[in-house]
Amino acid sequence: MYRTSAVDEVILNSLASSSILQTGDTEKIQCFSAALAIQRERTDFGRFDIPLNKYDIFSQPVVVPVCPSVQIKKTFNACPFIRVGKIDILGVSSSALLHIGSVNEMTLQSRVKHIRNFLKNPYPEIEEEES
Amino acid sequence: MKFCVTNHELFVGEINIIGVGLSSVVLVGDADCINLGSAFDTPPESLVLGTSLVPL
Repeated sequence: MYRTSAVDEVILNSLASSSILQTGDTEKIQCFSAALAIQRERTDFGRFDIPLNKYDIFSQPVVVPVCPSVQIKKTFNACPFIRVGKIDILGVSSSALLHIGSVNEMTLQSRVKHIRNFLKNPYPEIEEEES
Repeated sequence: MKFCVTNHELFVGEINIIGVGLSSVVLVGDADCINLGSAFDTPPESLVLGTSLVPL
């Protein structure tokens, strides 16, 4: 039913933060990534104790279109191979996926909240115009 | 729905990617169903003043 994937060479520099390099066929994959990216004016290590559920973005549902059910699907593989010469990737991160082979079903989701933290307002003139 | 596919030869010489991030996929193969979702939040309110980062 599925074709065979043939890759001659894979060069992958870094694989970080729950990422996957999978060779071979897969039935089902589910990945989830939640990130709180904090840019602080003053570095203050070792004092982070922030519950993620305080932020709406980590609890709100992400609307993903549902695959329509295909009643009759016919696939004819005239050539049973997918051939790739070389794959060169610098980085795979944050629950991302490099998959060589066929997949039946995959569901991936990511949520990112950015926070810029200043000790005092860096844009006082803007606030004055608004008020 | 009736859906017929004929796959002929597929040969890719070289793939060069800088980065794959945040629940993205690079797939060399066939797939039946792919669901990807992403929420990215950087509103102006994300600018936090003071020391407390937790919303009230």
